[in-house]
Amino acid sequence: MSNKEKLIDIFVTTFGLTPAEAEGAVFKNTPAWDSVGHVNLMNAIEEGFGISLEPDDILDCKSFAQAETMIAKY
Amino acid sequence: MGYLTTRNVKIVGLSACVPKRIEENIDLPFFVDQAEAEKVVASTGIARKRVCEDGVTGSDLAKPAIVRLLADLGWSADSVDCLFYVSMTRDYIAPQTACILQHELGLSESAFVMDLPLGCSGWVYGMSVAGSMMQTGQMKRGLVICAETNTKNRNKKDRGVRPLFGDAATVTALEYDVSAKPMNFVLNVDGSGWKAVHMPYGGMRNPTTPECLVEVEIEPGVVRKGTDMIVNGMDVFSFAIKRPPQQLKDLVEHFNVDLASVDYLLLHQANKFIDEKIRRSLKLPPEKVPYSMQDFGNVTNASIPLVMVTQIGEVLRNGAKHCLACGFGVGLAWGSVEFYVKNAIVSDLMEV
Repeated sequence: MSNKEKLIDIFVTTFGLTPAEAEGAVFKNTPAWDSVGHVNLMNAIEEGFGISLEPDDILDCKSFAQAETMIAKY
Repeated sequence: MGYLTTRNVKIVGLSACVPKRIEENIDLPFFVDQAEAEKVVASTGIARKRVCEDGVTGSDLAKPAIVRLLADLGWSADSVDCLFYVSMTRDYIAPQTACILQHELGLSESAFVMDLPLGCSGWVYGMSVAGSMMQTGQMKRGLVICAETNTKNRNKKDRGVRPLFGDAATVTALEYDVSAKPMNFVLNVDGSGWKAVHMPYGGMRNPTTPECLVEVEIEPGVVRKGTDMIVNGMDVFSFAIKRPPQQLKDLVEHFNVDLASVDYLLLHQANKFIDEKIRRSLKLPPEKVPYSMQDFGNVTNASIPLVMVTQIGEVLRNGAKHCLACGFGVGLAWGSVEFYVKNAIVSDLMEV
């Protein structure tokens, strides 16, 4: 499974989206993506990819595309 | 600046009192199913909270804990020279709850008492005020009370806050002692973030009106009235993930704290994800950062002393421990402190 597929899975599970919706997910347009949802997402990314995210990255991540870029850094 | 050292004052006792009633997050009515509830519990680290009954105030929780600790310390009420009541859910807007407690506990009329309306940073700030006032030795015995009934001003239909906050009161007893090791503080504030956590109505800016007592649905799952606390989760999260770890590193650097000798890092119990980020930023092992949030939730200013009573009480009774603590929240205000506890009197947790 590629990193992108793994990330889509995480978005689908965390926010209850379809895979297509997951790829276009943006913080402001995703109802389940509130502060608790954000913690869930960051937790799932850290566990799923075995990484520990830096605070700046956690705060900057506001879309699927940004999450993809963020993961590529680790 | 923001640095402060107080000398000649040590922690000699701790106690806490919580309501008997337990609210399990898994049972909250606004989750669509058990899986959603379990997800929130997992991400926040909060499984349950204590919730006080109608009519019970913070001072009702605090009084038994004070009486018990005074007895365990062998202190008479009239030997207490100062009392600081830290709370954002005071019994009345006026007078200060500290005045009511002075009378009800039988403290001397010469005792110095005052309320400190601080939230999650309140224990650290309260310790800095008490330590500063006591360090000359004119006041020899002091109490820092942290008491909050958070469930009273958070709306039960606000799914963003109800799973998080609980009620509790704690007492920290301080005594003048020239052999005490200093307490070192770093204290910060950023008032530009005051709207991140605030209660818009009920003060003098927006007095209570019949209209502000009407519940309004802000968004699905979030219902509030004007006198309910607004907690902007993302703003608080953004603050908490960055500023407390920076401040703790500042404390360590400025006061040359030997992290290897630190026995415990005691953190405000807001969110386990954030606290774990802070722990890892200081490279401390998990066993040095105890948690009480799983059973008591976020009890704002009472969080740090409640962890001490419920999680490491036995350890603090026996021997000397080198501790760091950090509280952060409403204001926005945040404070960190380095202190020592040696053979303290720690009363068993009380329930009312």
